Amino acid sequence: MKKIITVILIIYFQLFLSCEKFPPGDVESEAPNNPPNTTLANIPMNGATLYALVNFNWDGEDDDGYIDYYQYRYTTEYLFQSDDDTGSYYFTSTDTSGQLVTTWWKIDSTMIREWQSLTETNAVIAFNSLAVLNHQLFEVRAVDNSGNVDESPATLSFYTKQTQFPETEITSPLNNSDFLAKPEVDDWYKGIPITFTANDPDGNITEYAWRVDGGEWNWTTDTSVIIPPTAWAEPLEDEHIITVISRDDTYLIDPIGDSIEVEIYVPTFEKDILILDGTIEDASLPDFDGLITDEITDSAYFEIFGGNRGDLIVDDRDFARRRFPNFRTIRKYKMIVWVKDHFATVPYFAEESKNLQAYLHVGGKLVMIGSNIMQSFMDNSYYLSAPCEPCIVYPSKFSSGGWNWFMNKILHVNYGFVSDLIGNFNSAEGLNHYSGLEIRPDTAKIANIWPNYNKLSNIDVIIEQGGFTVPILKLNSDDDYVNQETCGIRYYGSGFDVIYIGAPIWHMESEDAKALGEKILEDMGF
Amino acid sequence: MNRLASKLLFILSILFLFSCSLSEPVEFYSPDAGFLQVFIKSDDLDTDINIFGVDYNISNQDSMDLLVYQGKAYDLDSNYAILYKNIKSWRQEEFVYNILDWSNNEGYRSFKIYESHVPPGNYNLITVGLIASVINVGPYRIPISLPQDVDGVRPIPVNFSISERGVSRINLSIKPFESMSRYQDTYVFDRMIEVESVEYFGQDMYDQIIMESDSLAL
Repeated sequence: MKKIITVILIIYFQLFLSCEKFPPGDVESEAPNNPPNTTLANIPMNGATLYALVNFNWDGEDDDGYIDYYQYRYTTEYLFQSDDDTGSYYFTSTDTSGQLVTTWWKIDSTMIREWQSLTETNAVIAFNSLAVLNHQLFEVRAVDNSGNVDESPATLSFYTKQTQFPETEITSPLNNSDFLAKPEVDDWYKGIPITFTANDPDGNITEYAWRVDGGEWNWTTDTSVIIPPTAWAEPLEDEHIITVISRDDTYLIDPIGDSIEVEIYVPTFEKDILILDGTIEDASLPDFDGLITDEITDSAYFEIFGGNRGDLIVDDRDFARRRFPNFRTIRKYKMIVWVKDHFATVPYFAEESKNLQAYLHVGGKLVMIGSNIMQSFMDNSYYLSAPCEPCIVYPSKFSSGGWNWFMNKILHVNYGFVSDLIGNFNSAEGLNHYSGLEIRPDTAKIANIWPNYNKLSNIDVIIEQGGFTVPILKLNSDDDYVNQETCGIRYYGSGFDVIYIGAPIWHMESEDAKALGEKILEDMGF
Repeated sequence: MNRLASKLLFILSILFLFSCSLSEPVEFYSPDAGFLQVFIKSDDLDTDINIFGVDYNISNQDSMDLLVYQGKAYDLDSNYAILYKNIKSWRQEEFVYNILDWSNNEGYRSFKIYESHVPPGNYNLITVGLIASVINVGPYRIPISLPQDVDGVRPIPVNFSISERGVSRINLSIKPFESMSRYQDTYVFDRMIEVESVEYFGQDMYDQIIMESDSLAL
């Protein structure tokens, strides 16, 4: 046992004596830090002719550290074709006769870009390619954690063809369009919408930019925007210029763009009421005897809606003949009273619905009274595709989109229908803050209505009203189908107010019509 | 003799170690579940709404249908238990409650929206799907929507525990009118909801729930 221990101790002693400094060599001085090296992937190939948007991949190595970041740059030589058989670059091809043809290109000018730093090992680069043919020299180099730069960057030489500018077009509004606008946004008024498109003959559009009145460019990827009131130059009520440009994937910007001029009107509300007479005094008027003239009905409406009060400025306009007034005119009125006594449908009501919506969204008020209004605001396409009388049958749903949007979004009816052609209007009775009112038809005016029921027909009945809307009139009728249903509603808007009564007013007892008119005026703040 | 004693001691030690591993480990024990009840009730102090300068006080005619769905209870490790309408439910369903159900004597009605088996442990969150579509108040019928980009499932932080064969009850209070703000023609429903209290009950309540569940349809 002792012998074994002695042998082990001797071995340990020998090992101790054989020890030298580890690691061998001089550790007193630091070895120099070597620069990194960089390698480019072999796609695209050297000498290729490419579209100006090129994807590169590269890698770097550092034996005594790690790669901190990379830098790349490119040099563009703008080339032009030379007739001489000298030049910097040439291409060979074979013509139809089998002869070898050489095309020489000379350098017109050269542009060297600054080094760009990045940490990624790939990049998609749009090369400046303004000449017919452009020679590009791409260089990339690694920088290590000690700040050493690869002294021999990886390079790739190739050609790019001339890139073409994108072309931009404003699709709406049309040039010289008019708008109603107000200086601030709210729930309803957001600004003036524009839509545009662009085309790039040799690539893709990546961005659009719009500006008004020569102001700052606003870049976006959307093709429709709403220009807020703050964007316009002062004064808001003026002619303004909208310009749109686009940028393609090689960063070329449409140098011209598209411009339109628009006229903006701001509401003044200096007058009170404009009565739009939508009645057509013809055989579609109940009990039309040939003696009912436009003057007769105009005079009646004028009186009902405060024309004789003295404190109100009330005008009227024959809507059936002159249509909706332009924005320059309508901006002066606080409220529109739109009346229609004949029960036939009037498809051209719908044609004016967008103008009416624009007026309401800047703070106007609307009173709409008449029979068969629901059917008059159908979109033309629906009216033509489904000719019917009446089309709006129980229970018709009015949705916020599609042909019947006006009934839903403006008149605030979710469900409703037009009552039968057979007379079914005995009277209308006030509800809520209209309680106490009773609207009865004038028996003299409805004496001989076809088919001799002596009652008004085509009453608009509201089964379900929209939000913030209350019933103000209900129908008394012998027809159980419509009896006690709502035929008048009041909408309390956050931006505009509406009263909608689905029965004609000129045909009512004059005292009842006046009382209703006075109540409506009071309710709307007059 | 010493060698024999050493061997004996070694064998006894081995036997002792083996004997330790023969008893059942605590972690193998599986406790019975407890019950979690979740009640929701409108705040009795939130009884009126002003629409265009007119105050509308709560009445028997008013209504607001709250659709409740997809309830879950999360423990401290974010493991969750699905909450069901009652202990016999076998799938999650949607239920609608009129949270404006008002009595002049008792105020708003309270609704039990969940009563579910939940593993014992400590929990810190429940999530409840809460949406409403329309409120009828005074003469108005007004559509309701959630704020834009807000999920219908509402997380409600609440610390509570579930004990074996015990019952934990969470009472939620919602402000139906204060939660509303108008945008265009709708009310945006901000769902102002808070935990009013957490109550704990013993096995008597547990047994009572089981007994009452016999009358529930599957």
